Parts: sequence; structure tokens; C-alpha cells
Amino acid sequence: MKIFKNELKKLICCPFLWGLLLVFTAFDVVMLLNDLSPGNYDYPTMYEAIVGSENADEGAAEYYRDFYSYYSTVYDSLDMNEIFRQKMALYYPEVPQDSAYFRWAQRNYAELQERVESIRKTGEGNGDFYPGQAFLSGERLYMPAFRIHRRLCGLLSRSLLESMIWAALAVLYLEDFERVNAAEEVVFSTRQGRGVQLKKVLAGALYGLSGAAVLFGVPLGTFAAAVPMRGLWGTSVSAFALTEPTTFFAYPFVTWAKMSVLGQLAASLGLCAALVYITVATCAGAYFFAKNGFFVMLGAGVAFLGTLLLPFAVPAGVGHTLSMMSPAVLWYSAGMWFIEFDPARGRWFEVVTVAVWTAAAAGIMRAGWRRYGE
Amino acid sequence: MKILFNEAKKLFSPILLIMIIIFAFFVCEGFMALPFWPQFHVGSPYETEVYGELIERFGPTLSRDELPGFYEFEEGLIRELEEELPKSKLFKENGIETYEGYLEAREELHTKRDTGGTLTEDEKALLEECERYTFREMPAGKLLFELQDLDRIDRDIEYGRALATDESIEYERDYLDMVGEERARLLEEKFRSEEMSLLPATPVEVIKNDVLLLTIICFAAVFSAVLLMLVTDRIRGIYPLAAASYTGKRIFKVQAVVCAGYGLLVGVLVCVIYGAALINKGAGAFLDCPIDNYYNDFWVKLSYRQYLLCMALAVVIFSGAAGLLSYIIGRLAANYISGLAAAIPAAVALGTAVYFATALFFSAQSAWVLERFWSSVALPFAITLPICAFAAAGVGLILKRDRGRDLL
Amino acid sequence: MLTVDNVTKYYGKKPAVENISLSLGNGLYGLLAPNGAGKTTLIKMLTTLLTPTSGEILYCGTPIEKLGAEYRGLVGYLPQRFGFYRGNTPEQYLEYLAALKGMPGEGLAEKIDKVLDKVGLSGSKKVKMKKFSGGMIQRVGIAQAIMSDPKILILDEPTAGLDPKERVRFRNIISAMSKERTVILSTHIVSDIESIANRVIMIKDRRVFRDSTVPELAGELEGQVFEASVPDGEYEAFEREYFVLSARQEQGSMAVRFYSPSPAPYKAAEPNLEDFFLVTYR
Repeated sequence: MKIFKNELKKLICCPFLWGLLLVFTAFDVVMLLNDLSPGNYDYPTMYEAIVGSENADEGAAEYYRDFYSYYSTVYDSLDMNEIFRQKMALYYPEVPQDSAYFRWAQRNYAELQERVESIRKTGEGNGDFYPGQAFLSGERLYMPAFRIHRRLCGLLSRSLLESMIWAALAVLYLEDFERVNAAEEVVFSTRQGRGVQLKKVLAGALYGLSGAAVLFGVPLGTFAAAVPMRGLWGTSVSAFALTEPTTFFAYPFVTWAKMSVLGQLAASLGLCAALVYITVATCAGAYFFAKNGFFVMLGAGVAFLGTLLLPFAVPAGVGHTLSMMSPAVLWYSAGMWFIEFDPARGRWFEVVTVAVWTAAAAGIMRAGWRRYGE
Repeated sequence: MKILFNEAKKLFSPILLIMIIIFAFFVCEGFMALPFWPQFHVGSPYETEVYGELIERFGPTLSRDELPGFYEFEEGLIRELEEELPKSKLFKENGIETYEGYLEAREELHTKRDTGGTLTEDEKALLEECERYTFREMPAGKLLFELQDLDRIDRDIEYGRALATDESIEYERDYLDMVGEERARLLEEKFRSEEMSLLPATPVEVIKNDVLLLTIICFAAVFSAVLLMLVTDRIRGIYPLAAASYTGKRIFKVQAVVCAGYGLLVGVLVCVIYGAALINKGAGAFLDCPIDNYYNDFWVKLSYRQYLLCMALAVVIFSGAAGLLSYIIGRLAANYISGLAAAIPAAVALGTAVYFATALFFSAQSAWVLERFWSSVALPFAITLPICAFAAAGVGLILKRDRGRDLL
Repeated sequence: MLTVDNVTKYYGKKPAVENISLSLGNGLYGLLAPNGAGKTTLIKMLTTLLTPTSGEILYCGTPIEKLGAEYRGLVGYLPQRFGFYRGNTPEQYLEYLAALKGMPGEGLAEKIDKVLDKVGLSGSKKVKMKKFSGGMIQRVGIAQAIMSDPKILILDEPTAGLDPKERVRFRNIISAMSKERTVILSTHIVSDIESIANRVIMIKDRRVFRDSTVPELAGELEGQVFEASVPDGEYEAFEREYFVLSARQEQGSMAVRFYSPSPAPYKAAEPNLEDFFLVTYR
């Protein structure tokens, strides 16, 4: 315990990590406030229009009425099997229709169709909030995957990337500490010396997650304070009013299971925590092989980019799905977790990816640790 | 000189070089427009060829007097295409004998399909045939894409965006009324010009997209190599030896020069490689074309070549600034990781500056300012040069501090 | 002639050395002091890495700050912690340092070969230093210090990591060199100084305590150093009574060498520099 505390202390007393945390957090808040500035979205006005108050702005009220009349019946004709057909023809035309892969994807969409029918029956799609707010939260909070050019404007995407970078720097700083201070021989020749490295990983993970809590908490808190969410938190993510009208496929977000906006946020934060942990463990494991924090950090950056681009190079099929199962691709699609959007991703895509990578990171650490010990 | 060379050699690390090359490859293939050009945005695969041919015939600009020659050229391509159309049995059966007929049929079928209609088997077959004719291996494919590019020029002229007449400018009237007096005046002047630049949109779009990514590659190469060198020297205890030698604390100045020089060299290298790739892809045809056409918010007669040089200069200067900034970080960082932690926000800040600097090259914010040549070209450098000055001042402060400072 | 004229150095409010004055001509000077006494601070001031808070250091009457590169060109320095590039061979590293020292390129390769031969590394000149032992690294350090044929050679803990054979070789090299140059040897290994130093400078409480020859210093303890064989059971009591300089366990007793300012009923021993060091800094 004492060693663990000592290692944690090294991190806590490290000024540059604090400095970077501050810079990231300030950047997030500034970007968010800029996005949420009244000039962009006058959500209080729109809210008044929805609730039909006497102060309602007629233009906003009309906008809401138009939106409602256009989209309120979207679930009546929504056919996930047709969407599957269209998406396969558009994105994966080379996948043979008699292949096991195609049938697997088709089954997934059949399941989604059952979900749509359930939504239709229960009225889950009718959420009582104003579309401007929903659009705002959808775009600002979750960053839908197809908004490629504004990837880094999305709050969760930004916070997640920053958390992963920060946590990696923290654990590598700790792992490299003795080497940089020429204390390797002294430390590692002691009885507890070798074991210190594993305690460093734990300390790095704890500290990384604490930093992530700040990097998520402050922007989310700012968001919650600035945007009057009110009834939106409890509304289903699949509510018709969350339809993204500018997409090619103009239909609501169909979640695999019933999920409220708050529920999806909570589940997303859980995934983010797992991804931060995976980052820490993978970097630590890589360090055991490379024994150089600088190159591990650079290598992690290159690997992140490589795994992000890998799906574009792999033809459609099982390989393509497997190539998408990486932290980088998961980050890229932050905002579309637990939601249907790609036939190559199944129901448990996010959970399986995280589980596989957690196991992989543990494997890398184990193998690296063995080598390091030698 | 030998000391300079020795310090510069330290920047070369084989592992780092491999990582940078892989990183550059990923950035290039994943995010850059050049690998996909000319089939980028609205470009066609034969864009450089057809425009190249036009430029060969008419020069970098097309004047009103040359319009008949242009239409004749277009007619020639249409005639060539109309010789290919009868070779298809399906086209013959459906009476598609002309270029117009082909376009109409194709559009009709696309519209029916895209608005949720169901195509009959015959219609599906016809649509497939229309699309097959656009394939690269088909003689008609090249012609169709070339005609598509020429159609764009036709539309620009027809709708008053180039070589405008009193009648055609009216198509743009609504837009001109919206944008404000000064900008409208400049736009109208541009549209009514007697010469139309034969530069399509994509050669500039490619640069707009890629210039930020080029600087990211430069920053990655510069920051990582400089940090590695400086932090290694500190940690390994090289500085007391060097500072106690004949060279003394001049070693710090030498290293600052090396870092700045390395930054400039990386910038030049990246620009040269990119430029060579750009020319290889056919951009050489456009070098003399003015960039102030409908597609670019720019009103000064700068050629594409001059524009490329300006952008390259901005990249090189920013890369040099990155060298100086990374020197500051490397000298102040206690270890590799703290150096990286400081480099990340520095690189993002520099990247933001690059974005604004290069975006300002085409900015509708102040037409009055942009109209004046030096202001419009100087604006990007109004951002780059203060950054360089700031970085240089920072380096100067550190070197001054070193002179009187105890080297513990 | 290297002159240290009333030099004081403060780190913030804490003094490291105070009022140090020395005159160092040709010869070998041993700088002897315990940790924290100010040896390394003095050495760093002599190598221009630190600036004195007051006083000055002169070479042939001119302040070394004024001489700048000219002075540094005359100095060969081996720091306490010798830094090197793991990926370099000794040959490459010496070439790198030669450039920093302003040595001309002509004849450099021969000079490097010669100096590596002198320190016994000619067989390893193309081997990367990451494969070297600590002693081999130290020899590279010595090689770089002497390679420019300096007029002033300053060595801080040069024999750390060297085996006895290498240590003897080292002593012979610098002893020979000290005939025509100023050699300052800072070490805790008293025997290194004892055998070759012309003068010993001892620093105590941040000031020069003694600047004398080895025989003179040892001679100050004449008649005050004794040897005895103390039975095991009596050793503790003995230690309380006398200041033990060294003790060696033998069969049933301890062979002890000790200091007593007043006569003691034991066999007198010939005092040496180490005795003086221990007595001075006890």
C-alpha cells in the first residue's frame, strides 16, 4: 500500500500533468460555451414555443409545429429491413447475399425491426421536448459519427481523446520515472523493486481515471448548467424528435434496447472509463517491451491513427467488422454507441470491443511483464 | 560548422524516422485530398486532362473572343461520344442517340430510384448500361467525364459567374443583393471580367484541405525529434561537458539554430515532396491560371503557382516556428513525457494558427481589406510572423538566461 | 598559474564555499573533503559552469570569465557524473567532443587512437558504449579529458568504477601529465592522492582548511596514531575511549588502528593521509 501511495504521490506532485489537465479543461469549456452561445441556439425561446406559453415566439413555435408534423409519424413507416437493404447496397455492395456474414447482419436488423415495432406500440418515440434542444444535445453532446468534419467539436469525443492522452502520459511518466532519474538499478535491485512496476500501472490507472472524471465532469457540468435539459434526460434516445434531419437516412436513433438520454450518457461514460483503462494498460504493457516512455507514447499515437484508418483498407465482411473493433474506431463513433448505424456493427459491438481489448491489454501486460522481469 | 553538423545529426533517430514516415503515410492516405484528386469533391478523374487540353488551346484564361473555339472543342467531344452511343444495343433500343438524350435518360432513372420509386427490370438494365458507359475502360467513360467538366464551365458562363453579360449576371442578382455593397461590387467585377480563369475548383480545394495536414506532419516530425534530442542531452548529462569545453554555452545557441533549421528543412522537404506529387498528378497544367475565379473568394490576380508558393512559404515558416517552440519546450522540460505534455497544446495552438492563416487567404470577411494585394497576401503572414517572432523571442530569453546562469 | 582569489559561492542564502583562495601552478593537486563540503562547487567554478558570488578566478592574471572560450580551450574536465550517448562508440563520442573542444580535424583520428590506447580501450573503440562496463565508461571519460592536451586538467572522482590495475594506470598517466600542467584531482579515495599528489587541498566548513603536502599533513599526527590488538569482548569499550581509524577482525581479537591526542600505552604507528582525513573530519 505504501508503495502504491508513493507512486500516486509522484503523479499528484507532477506539475506538468496538472498544467495539461487545466489546458484541456479550459479548452473544452471555451469550445462548449462558444457552441452554446445564445447567438447559435436560442433554446429558451424555443422551449417557450414548445410549452405554448404566452411569451412564445411565433417563429419558433411554427418551427416546432412543422417539425412535429413532419416527423411525428416517422415510426409508422420505418422499416429497418429496408434500411438494411439500402445501407448494404450503398456501403457494402460486395458482400455476397448468401454469406454467413450477410445473414448475421440481416438478423441484427430483423431484431431492430422488432425494436421499432415495440417503440411504435408503446409510444416510446413520443418525447415531450423541443427539437432545437434535442438537436443541440445530440450534436454537442454525442457527435454523431457521420459529422466527420466536426469530430473534435463533440464534447464526449473531445473529452475521451483528451482523457486517453492524459492517462497515457500519466502512466508512462510513472513507468519511466526510474529510468529518467537513473534510479533503475537502485530501485529494481530491492525486494519489492520489480513489483513496483505493476503498482505503477494501478496508480496510473487510478490517476488517469481521476483526470478523466475532471475532463468529462467539468464540460458536462457546464453543459448541464448552460442547457435547460429539463424533461430531456428521461426521454428515450429513440424519440422521433431526436431525428437528425440533415442525414441521408432521416430516421430516429434506434437503440438496441430502450434507453433514456441519461441512460445512454451513463453507459457512454462507462465505456469511456473502460477505454481510458485500456489505454493505460496497453501503454504500460508496451512500456514493458520498449522500456522507453517517449517512443511508447509516439507509437501509441501512430497505432491509434493506424487502427482508426484500418477499416477503410479492409474489404467488407468479417475482416471489416473485426478491423472496426478498436478503441480508435470506438472513439471515432462516440455518440453512436448502443445505436444502430452501421450494418457491420452488431448489438454488442461496443461491449465486445471493450471486452476484447481489455483482455488484449491484459495479455500485452502479462507478456511484457514476463520479458521485463527477465 | 562541425559542431552544427554534429548537433544536427542528433536529430536523426532511425526509429523516430520510421514512426514519422508511418504517421505521414496514415495522414496522407486517411485525411489528405491529394491521393484522391482529381476525384475529390466534385472533380472527375479526367479533370486535369481536359482542363490541360483547354489550357493548351486557350492559355490559362478563356476570353470572350475564344468562346466559339471553346464550344467547337466541346462539340467535338460530343460528336466523339455520339459515335460511341450507338455501339450499345440497349441505347439503340431506347432511342438514346445523343449526348442530351443520354443525360436525360440517366437523370430520369436516377430520380425515379432516389425518390423511392421502383425501377422495372428494363429500367434497371438501362441504368446499369448508362453507368457502365462511365467506366474508365470504356472510351465513352473518358468523354462523359470530360463533358461533365466542360458542362461546369458552360454553367458558370450561362449563369453569370464568368464572362457575364448584362443578362446572365441577373442569375446571380439575388446573391449579390444579399452580400453587401462592397463585396457585391467586387464579385460583379469578377463575374464580368473579359477573361475567365481555366482553373477548376479542385486544385485549390486540395490545397485548402491539405495545407493544415502538411503542417501537422511537420509539427510531428519537428517536435518529436527536437524533444528527443534536448531532453536526452539534459538527462544524459551532456551539457556540463559541452558547456565546460571551448564551445561553452554557445552550444545552446547552436542547438537553437539547429532546431530552427531542422524545422525549416522539414517544411521545405514536405512541401517539395507534396509539390512533386501534386505536379505528378497533373496540377502543372494550372500553374499560370489565376486563382480569382468564381470558386475562390479572392480578388487579386495571383496565379496558382504564386498561390502554391505562398502556401508553401507559410508551411515552411510555421515549421520553422515549430522548431523554435519545440526548442523552448525541450529546454524547459524535465523529462520526455513532460515535454510531450507541453508539446500537445503547443502543436494544437500552432495548428489553429495555421488554419486561420491559410483560411484567411480566402476570406470574405473584409472585402475592402482583401482587395488590396499586399493585405490579402500579407494576412496569412500577419499570423505566421508574429508567432515566429514570439518563438524567437522565447528562444532569445532562454539563451540570455543561459549566459548568466549557473549550470548545476 | 591558476589563481582562486577569495571566492565565495552562495546558492540562494546558503553558502557553498566561502573565501577560498588558492594558487595552482604546474603539479598535481588533490582536492580532499567529505560530501557537501564544496569540492564540486569549486570545481564547477573552475570549469566556468558556475559563477562565483564574489571573488574571482584568474588564469595568468586575467579573469577566466573574460578569457571565456580561450580559457575553456585550455581545460580538460571529467565531471563526477560523466554523460555519454549510449548509441555512440568511443571513437564517435570523442570525435563529437573534439569538435566541441575546438580541436582541429587534422590528426584528430590519430589523437583519438592514441588516447584510447592510453586508457586501454583501443580494442573497443568501435563498440557501442551501451555495451561498456562502468569502468570502461569512466575510461572514456578520462580519455576525453586528456585528449585535447589541456593545460589545466580537472578530474572529479575519476577512479570510480576502475579496478586496481586501471587505477594504477590512471595514476601513472596523470602523474606524468602533471609535470607540465595543473592537474586537480577531486576524490574520496585518499590513496589516489596520497601516492601522486604534490599538494593536498582540504576543504572544511566551506573554507580551505589545509593546503599542504602529504608528508606535512601526515606529519601533523606524528605520535598520535597507534596500533593495538583488542580482544573481542573489550572492543566496544575501546571504541568509546579512543577514535578508531580502522579495525580488522582477527582470530579472537580486533586489529585496531586508532588516534589519541595524548600518549597511549600502545605501539605507535606511522600516520598517513587517510588518518589525517579521518581525524580532521570526525
